[in-house]
Amino acid sequence: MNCQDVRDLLPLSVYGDLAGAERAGVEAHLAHCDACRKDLAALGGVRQMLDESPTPRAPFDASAIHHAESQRHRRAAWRWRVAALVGLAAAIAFAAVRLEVRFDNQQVAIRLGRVETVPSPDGNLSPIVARQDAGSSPDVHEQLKLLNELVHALAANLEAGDRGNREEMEKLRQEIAAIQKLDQKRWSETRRDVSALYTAQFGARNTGANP
Amino acid sequence: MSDADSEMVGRWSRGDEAAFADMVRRWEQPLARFLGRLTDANQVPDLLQETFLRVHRARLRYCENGHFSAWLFQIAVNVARDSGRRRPSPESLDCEPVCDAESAASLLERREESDALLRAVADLPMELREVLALRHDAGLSFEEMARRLNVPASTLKSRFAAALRRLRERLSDPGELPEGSS
Repeated sequence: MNCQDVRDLLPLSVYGDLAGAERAGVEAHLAHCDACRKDLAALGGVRQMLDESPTPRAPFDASAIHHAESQRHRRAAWRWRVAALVGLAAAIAFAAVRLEVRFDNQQVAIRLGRVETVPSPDGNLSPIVARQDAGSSPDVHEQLKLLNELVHALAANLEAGDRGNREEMEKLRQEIAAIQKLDQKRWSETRRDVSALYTAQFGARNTGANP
Repeated sequence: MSDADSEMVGRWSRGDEAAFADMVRRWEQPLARFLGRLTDANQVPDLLQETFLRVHRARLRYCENGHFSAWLFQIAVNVARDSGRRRPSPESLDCEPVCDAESAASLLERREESDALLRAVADLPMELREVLALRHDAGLSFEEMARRLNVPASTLKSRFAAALRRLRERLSDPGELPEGSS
């Protein structure tokens, strides 16, 4: 290996990412090349600087994540609730007006109201007669009552689910607050210990510069 | 993955929210450091929040395969990419205080070195910065990176070598570092 070959591999060597023949080749070259050894040392210095570079201060608020997630779940639950109620309302409306949609003989037939067939004077069935007062039929009232009960049961069920979610979120918030309080307490203790150590090391006269 | 990580991830994937809080404590500093290499330092708190939010949402999609940290850092890379590929700010970082007995001159020198490094990293193209941060800060192997980023390991090695080489050249420039530094 010549110097150029080795220098291409030195950054990997600094991180221990060479193996086999490459590693052996680089080591053999470094044994007799002062310039490449200096280059390796300089790259090692860059690695050390990267190690020692400070971490950005990033105060992290875990409760914001729980808040964002609870908001998201609430929005999703609301969407489902609206969809369910719209579906039910549509079902009620269809049942109330006796709307019937039929695909027949390459035709789409939409029929509104109760349909009855009555015998004609000549004994044949007469054309379909549609009644518009279907809402007054007793069986329609019965169905509306059932649907009404169903809607109320569904609403109560959703309410109970929401209450459970709220209780769970409150519990999580309390846990997070306890964790944050504990962290704050530990941080205060650490500061106090560091301050005491500093004073013990340098005496009271440097108190002003105490970290 | 360490035993502690494995145990924590196991609890988390079963829906234990306390395990998520443990995970945040375990990884927030490494992730903040990692994101600080890729983006503006002022953005780090927001991006950290976004990373953990995505992690939280992805819980059901996570497959336990012993590569939790690689998965975590891949999410952080995506967050950094989505943030608009801003360069790290060349201004000094707002950092944790140094609590030892260094002299003011020594602190100042270290600060200048740190700023020079920050400027040098900020001037790297994003693809070099990514591979540098994934190798140096996340500690991923090139093979793991290749799997995650769908880029050949040989290409990633070349990028990494180029990144480190550019930093070395930049930091050996006498104008970049304070007097007395090498």
